[in-house]
Amino acid sequence: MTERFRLAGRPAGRGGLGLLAVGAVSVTLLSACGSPTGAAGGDVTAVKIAIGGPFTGDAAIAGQELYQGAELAATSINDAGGISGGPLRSAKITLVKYDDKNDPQTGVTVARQVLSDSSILAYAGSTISDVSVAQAPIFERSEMPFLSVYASANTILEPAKQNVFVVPPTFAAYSYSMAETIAADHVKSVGIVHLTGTYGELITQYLVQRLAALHISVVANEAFNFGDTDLRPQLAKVKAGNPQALAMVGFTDSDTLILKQAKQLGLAVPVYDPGGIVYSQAFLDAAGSLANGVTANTPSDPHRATAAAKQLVAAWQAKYHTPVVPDPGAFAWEAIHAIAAAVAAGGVTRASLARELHSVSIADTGIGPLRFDSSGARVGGRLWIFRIDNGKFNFIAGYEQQSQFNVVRIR
Amino acid sequence: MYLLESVLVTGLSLGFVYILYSLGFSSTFAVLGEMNFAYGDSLVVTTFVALAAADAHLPGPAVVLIAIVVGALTGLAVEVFAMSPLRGRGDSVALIVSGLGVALVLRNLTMSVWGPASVHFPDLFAHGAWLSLGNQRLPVTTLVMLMFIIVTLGLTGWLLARTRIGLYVRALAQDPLAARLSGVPVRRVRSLCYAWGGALGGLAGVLYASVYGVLGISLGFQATVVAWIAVVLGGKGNLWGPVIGGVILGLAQSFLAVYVSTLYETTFTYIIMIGILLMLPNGILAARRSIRV
Repeated sequence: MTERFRLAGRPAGRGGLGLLAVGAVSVTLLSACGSPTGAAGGDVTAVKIAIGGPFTGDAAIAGQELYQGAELAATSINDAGGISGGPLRSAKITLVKYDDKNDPQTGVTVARQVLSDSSILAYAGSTISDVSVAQAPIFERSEMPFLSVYASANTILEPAKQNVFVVPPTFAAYSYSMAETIAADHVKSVGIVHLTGTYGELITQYLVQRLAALHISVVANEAFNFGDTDLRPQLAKVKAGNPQALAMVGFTDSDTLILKQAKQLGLAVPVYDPGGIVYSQAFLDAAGSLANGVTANTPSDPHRATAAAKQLVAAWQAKYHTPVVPDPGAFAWEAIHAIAAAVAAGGVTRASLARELHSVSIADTGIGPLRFDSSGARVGGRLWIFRIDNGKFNFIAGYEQQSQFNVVRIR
Repeated sequence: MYLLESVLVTGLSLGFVYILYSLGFSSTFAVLGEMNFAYGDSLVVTTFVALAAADAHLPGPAVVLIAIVVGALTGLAVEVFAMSPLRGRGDSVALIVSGLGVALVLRNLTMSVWGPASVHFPDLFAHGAWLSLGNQRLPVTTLVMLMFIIVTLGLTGWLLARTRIGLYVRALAQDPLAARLSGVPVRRVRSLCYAWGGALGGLAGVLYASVYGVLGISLGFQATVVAWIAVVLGGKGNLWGPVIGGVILGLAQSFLAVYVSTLYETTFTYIIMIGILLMLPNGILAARRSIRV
């Protein structure tokens, strides 16, 4: 599937000299694009950032949360006086919303639309890796910085890129932290029900790898398609394997269905979510009492008592009136702050902004420290393990991503 | 053995949902020969209205009644505003396109009013209770669904066989021109078929959402396609056609999901469907003496 989407990033030069010439002209034109609003002659008043995500359809909850986080960050920065330094000091951040519908083809169209608007400086968005994987080569060629806000498949960064950044911990980190948690719970056999597509398949692949390394058997590994509502056949196969635990890799809607239908089938085993999906009020609302007992992970640590963490939580609660900052919102908040910091450091064109993002280092975004390595992956991302009890998130362990494929327990 | 039992239980309960979808769809497809592509999205609008009633803490039977009434009115509106003006003024493609247009309008209307995301729908009948059947658990709401199917089939059969309006419907289904010449009020019967189909669609939507606990925009397209296939598979000129088609589709999907692959259940199901239609082009019950609905 990854390869299929890479076709969107067809290598230049295969069409002969004519295409090369067209490509060269396009690159020249694109290089000339991407200035902040008002940069051509007048005072700079705005740094325009495109925000992409699924704002319609079944995954619209995640898209809405993502946009809320971006909006909150933009408001917070603007209220504090705008960009804090550099040639664009005091410029305000404005956001433009693009609906990628969680569809890679639409994501490609969105990427091209964004690139054609010369006033847009950067793109932040995407809640599923299929979309990010499809968009990444397009942004890489155009030199526009692309921050994958919620999607974090390791394949987004392959092959090596200069203009693509993944804000959350990688999929491997999510899966490894959950496999370690399952082992710590002395579980010996697991059944898995997972979504198809890059997100579901890669999270599952890394989970299975690490479970095998920990000598935990996978008795069933069943897939379902996005939008499926009857998951009882998959769960029946899992139940037939008599596992000690169930791992579910879906989105909010499908995870809720899995819990409900597992209960209907009498599959009464502990449930684990390795993909960091269930840490949201939307999940608690949808799943109700079925959420109790689910063990999952999140990069957000609600017990952080730093000034930045308090600012984020207070701002979120004041604006959106929900107690929990959902992960898409938290990452979008971080992405906008990273872009603002890079602009303040002198990243006033698309190309220079991408270079500055590699140097950005924020001591505390509210979630934790943020910087990117040379591959665009986040360094030092953390994953906190929690168990839902009486509708509350009880945190029980913490892991730190030390590289794309390594986590260590820190709490 | 456990897996086989699971196939039967999940396949039959899925089949019940498909029967309900297709009973409403066949009211226009089988009688009038018109494919109402607005059927599924009308069903979704109706179910969202029912959800609003449920959120207002109305009792389950009242919510079902509201769904039936709103569904009937929606079906009637589709007929009056989108179908009736086009008849006799173009070919059947115009009706299909008009139905698709209404479907898109309803979908966008639903999204703008209730939002694009799927929402939780309460179990109106049993609050998530189930019955134990050996190793299997059957949601009580699935049995409620079966009860509604039996009542619907009985009522439809009685209306068709024992009432004047049923006679009109059968006459219109067999030969519209002869029916008109015989004094059948064709326009009113057509409107009635759309209203009846909409009412059954509303019932199907509420029961589906009660069983699965979720309601989303994508249900509309799924309901239309599944209903269409189940009616064609079972045989569109027979009251039992949607029942046979729905059960076969449900069981096939469940069997293939468990014993072949959950990824390709839909693909293999429709391959089997094509195979059946190649042998029986008019559906499984086409050769039987039929009551047209």
